[in-house]
Amino acid sequence: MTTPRTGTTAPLGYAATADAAGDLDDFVGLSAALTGIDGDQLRPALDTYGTAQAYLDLTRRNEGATLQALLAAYRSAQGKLPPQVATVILEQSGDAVACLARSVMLLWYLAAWYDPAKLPALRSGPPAFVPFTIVSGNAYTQSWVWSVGQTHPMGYSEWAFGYWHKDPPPLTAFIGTGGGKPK
Amino acid sequence: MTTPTNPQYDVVIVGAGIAGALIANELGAKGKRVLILEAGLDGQQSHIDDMARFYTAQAKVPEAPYTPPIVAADAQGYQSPSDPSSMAVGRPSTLTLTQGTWQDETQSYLDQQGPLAFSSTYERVGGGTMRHWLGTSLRFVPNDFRTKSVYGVQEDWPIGYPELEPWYGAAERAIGVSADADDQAYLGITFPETYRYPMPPIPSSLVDEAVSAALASVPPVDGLPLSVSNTPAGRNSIPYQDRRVCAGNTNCIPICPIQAKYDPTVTLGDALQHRGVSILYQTVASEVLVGPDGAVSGIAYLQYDDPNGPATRQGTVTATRYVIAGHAIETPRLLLMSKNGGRTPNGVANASGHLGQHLMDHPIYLSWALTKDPCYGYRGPLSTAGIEDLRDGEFRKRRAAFRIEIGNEGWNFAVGDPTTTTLDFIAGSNGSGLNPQRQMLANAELTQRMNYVLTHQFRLGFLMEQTPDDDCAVTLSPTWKDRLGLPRPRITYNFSPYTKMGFVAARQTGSAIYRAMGATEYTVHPTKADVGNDPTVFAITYDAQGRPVPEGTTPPAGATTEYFRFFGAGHTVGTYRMGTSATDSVVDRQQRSWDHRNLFLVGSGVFPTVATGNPTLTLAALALWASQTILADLG
Amino acid sequence: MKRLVTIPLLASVAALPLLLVAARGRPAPERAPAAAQEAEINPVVRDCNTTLPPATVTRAIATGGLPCAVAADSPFTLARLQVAFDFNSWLTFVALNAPSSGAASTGTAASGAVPAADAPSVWEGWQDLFSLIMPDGSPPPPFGEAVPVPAICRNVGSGEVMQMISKTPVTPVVSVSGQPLRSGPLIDQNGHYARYQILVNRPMYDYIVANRLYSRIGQAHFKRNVTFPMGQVDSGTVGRVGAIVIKAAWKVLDPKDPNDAPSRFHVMHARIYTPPSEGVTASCRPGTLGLVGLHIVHKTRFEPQWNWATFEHVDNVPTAAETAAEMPARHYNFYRQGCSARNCPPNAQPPRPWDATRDPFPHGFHSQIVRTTTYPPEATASADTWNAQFHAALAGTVWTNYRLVTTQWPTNPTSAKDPNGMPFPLLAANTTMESYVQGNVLNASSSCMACHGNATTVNGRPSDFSFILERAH
Repeated sequence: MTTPRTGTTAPLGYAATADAAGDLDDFVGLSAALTGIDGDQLRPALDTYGTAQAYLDLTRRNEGATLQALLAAYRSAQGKLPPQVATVILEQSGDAVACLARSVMLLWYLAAWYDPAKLPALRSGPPAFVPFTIVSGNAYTQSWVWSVGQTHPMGYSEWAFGYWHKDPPPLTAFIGTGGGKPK
Repeated sequence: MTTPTNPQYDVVIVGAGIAGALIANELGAKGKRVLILEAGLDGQQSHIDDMARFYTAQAKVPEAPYTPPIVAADAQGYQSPSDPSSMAVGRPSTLTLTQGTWQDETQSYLDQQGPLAFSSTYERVGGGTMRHWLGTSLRFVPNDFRTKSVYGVQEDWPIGYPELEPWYGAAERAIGVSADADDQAYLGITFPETYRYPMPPIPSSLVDEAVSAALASVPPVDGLPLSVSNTPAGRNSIPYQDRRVCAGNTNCIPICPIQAKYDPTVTLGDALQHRGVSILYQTVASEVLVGPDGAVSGIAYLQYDDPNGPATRQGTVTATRYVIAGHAIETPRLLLMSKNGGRTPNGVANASGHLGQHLMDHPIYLSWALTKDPCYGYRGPLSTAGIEDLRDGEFRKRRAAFRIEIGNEGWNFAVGDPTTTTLDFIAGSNGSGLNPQRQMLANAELTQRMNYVLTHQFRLGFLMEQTPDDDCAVTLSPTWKDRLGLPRPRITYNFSPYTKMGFVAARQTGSAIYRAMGATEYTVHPTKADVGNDPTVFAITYDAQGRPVPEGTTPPAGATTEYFRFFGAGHTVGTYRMGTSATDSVVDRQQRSWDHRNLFLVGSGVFPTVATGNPTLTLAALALWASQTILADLG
Repeated sequence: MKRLVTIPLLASVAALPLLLVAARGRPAPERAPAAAQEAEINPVVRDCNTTLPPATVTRAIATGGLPCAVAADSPFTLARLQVAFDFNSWLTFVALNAPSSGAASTGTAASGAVPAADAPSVWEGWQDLFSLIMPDGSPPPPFGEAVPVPAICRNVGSGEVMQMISKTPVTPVVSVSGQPLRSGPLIDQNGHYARYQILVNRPMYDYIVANRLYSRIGQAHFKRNVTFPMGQVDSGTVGRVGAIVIKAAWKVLDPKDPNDAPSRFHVMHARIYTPPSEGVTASCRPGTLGLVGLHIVHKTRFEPQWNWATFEHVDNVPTAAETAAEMPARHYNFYRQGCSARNCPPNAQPPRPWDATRDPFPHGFHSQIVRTTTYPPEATASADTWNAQFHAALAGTVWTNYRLVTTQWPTNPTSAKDPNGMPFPLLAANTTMESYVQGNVLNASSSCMACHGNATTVNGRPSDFSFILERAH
């Protein structure tokens, strides 16, 4: 079955903008390689939330030029395994692409937009508060850091009474085998 | 409705929190005419907006969901506190406890005079502060009511456990508490032979079990062995009051998305079903009026349309009985403001001079660790169990008692996780202490590392019994005002050596527990440089025998100095305490003002000591008791 | 992800004999061995409607009978699946609203025709909640029979006894009084309380009775997981219907209000009853009610989280977007044009106390309801299309006054992360039944599956998305 498009569904509060063919697929691919979460989880076959499209649109709106460079870096890593794809993006494509890549990772993990220009100071400086904007309430409920912890976002549980008394499902049930598929 | 329809009520209640709601419901059920004045907005209709506000809050602090909003985004994108002088119903925020904010008139609602920052907050909204309680519904232990008689410290209450016991049962039914009485009969707590809690206990978490498994190898503390005890909670384990069972949203503080956790809007709804009960929102009591006969003759109030606007209307209501249920800072504030044209210069109900005095909290000592094996935190209610064994014992002669709350929410309270650790391993910071190498990870390395730390994080909170002290008080700020022109509360706050020595014992206990668990402790303790530069940090020096060394004296050889950071538990108590005489207390054992027969002061402000359990159940029990007294008055 | 049966479009609708079950006068069955129980509880039927979504809906297609499962074919995109679910919902709506006289209580049979004159529907003969859960935990009357009417209603008109003033019922009659109605009553423009019903079909009734889930003791002894019977197609048109729950919202038609013309509603003549509770005396009076909202919830094998369809009267309320713009003058059942937000706060619960014996609601209050839940384009396009098609096919009947709002269904029923099966649309609300909890905030605003996913038995064990079981005594 071919991966269906989600059309203009915008449940996370951002209307979709037109994107060049393949941008969404590639955005999901690079997101999977960077975050370590399967592309099929980030964008399921029946994508009820439209998160990937919303995050692509947000990234394009905030950093359109660098986004193109990020996509180009991803495309240049054709044929590599996901960990190497991540390396190409984060270490071999320049600082602007690397910082934007990290903002994209933070989008997926925390449903929050961090200005890429503010991230380098975190590496070298003392602990500091970096302002961020939570994309939307509904995006928060789909943030991925909790899945990486085999749990649910605080304030958003779909599970039944008493679940906490038992072990959670394994990590693979949440994020897949991880890392995305080879391009 | 904006104006009262009856000029004369049986009872007027100031405050629609748990105490006000319970009393209104009891009186309404008996056909009494009751008017509730609530300073804030209607909390029942706003749940969806509250959740939306919570989801998008940068700092998910207890007050984050509630109205009126007390943070606004500035140009840099920080959601920082709004200026309290612009707010008609300002209230404290945990965001104004830093060195740069706690004494800033444009940031801190409370005029904090120190030396330490009073760190607990409260709400002014329909349903009150309990909108964001955790749900913990513990009874006090019998010795909590008589520490002076038994240990020679603090004060005795004018009441004891046995006479409060039936009211505890009534409160447990009103709230809907889940527990098993067999698990809760420790340290002298007793139940009637056939007593059953309304609902079965909440299942324990995997974190609880990890702690429990290790406790057998923890040496007794002050002679007392430790055990894990299921925590009674106002949280549904079966359908109750037409509310759903807990789904483990792990969000009790600040807001349960599905109202599986009780909050007073439930009782408020019940109360308003009685024909005689009505409520005015956005109605701030501004003065308690006293007549020439010395009885309370009315309550003056201001109303506002815009929470950031001025008063738009004013009025007065009269009743046969008056109940002030505005929580432990706003209640003394109101009474102190009530000057009656100079006839009550020290405020109403304050002949004793004790109004506003003995402000107390349960200051929390927080410690945190990574477990040896996964304990799968961030699941279930925020806390399902604790260690209650150290709430009472001989040691109370020398140092503060505490209960230990086992946290199910990883390092959320401790370091602001999972946000902090995520930022650490993606952007290379070390806010969590877990990334000293300043690594930046991706792909499987990132998920493996994040999965490891998140599934091994947990924390313990030690709730300290702070003593009632003369240097902890609520008065009125001479200069800071709110938008209605009313003086904001002024706070002085400090800890006695007795309280501070409790922190010393807590630290040792925590470390012992982590050692027995094979866990790696990550608690960050402040240093000498932080004292005086962080209003939530204090120092304690003690000699080789463990006795505190008085401040300002030279410590003897072998003395140790430790530094601690504390957090507020949200347990504000003591500021209009009950007692046996009119000279050393504000209300009598029935919560009636010594000075005005027709005035009752209810809520946690009546506590002579903060005791060792969370205050809600006890204040609810006392409120139900007060309802009976008021009904007897009304005949 | 192939989970739906691909069925070629049938050339004609077979006219099959109706499957009648002799329900009346039979005592509640004793516990039987599992297999025989299954056959008895969810019997095989031979006339499942298996029609795939057509290009044009004719009268014959519209009245083709009850589907046992949802029919769809590839490609399986969100948009095409939503179309399939919504078509299924309309077929179900028509089949269950076929006239009950002469039709099987199962409702499967193709009726072939819908009479121009309004008549009681098939689902109105199903088992009402108050004839299912007894105040003393005793077994309910046989399927199709009701408990005796309250004494106060005996000489008052005829027909159903309507007592629920919220879709969450007051804990019935004999229990602790004073339990308020948390969802809030809906007050129409004449100050009358809307009235509600919950009914279950035969397989659901049989499952509850066979497993004694109608009582606390029965639920305590039931050790398996509650799993209501499922609809499925086995081959051809042979299959099983599965459990269906109906929730209906009715408006009291006021004879003095020309907008309450019975011709615009599916109508019921009933006895409007308010039970006694603290400080309130009971009342019962005859009335004519118009249907304003209908939930149809159907459990199928491929949607174990159930399919949640909801319909509304076309005159109910405007959308939020409509109220923000210039509105052409027209009548709404639960919204008054020209009333300011201050005087008629939108979607605000009525002020307490809620007392249905005080009719009309004091001080002239009426609910001002606006549709605030917004739906994704896949859902609005599909609902709009099917509403237009079915209205054309059913021209001349009262059913052109009803529209599908949406169908919520699980896109990933086996998701480990989301036991609710990743519902789509994310949120859903009927403005007559979730009036005050509409909105667009996940976990807080109305979503059929997110809320019902929390449903349990009286002792806190999962109850397969049904809040009925927690009502047991």
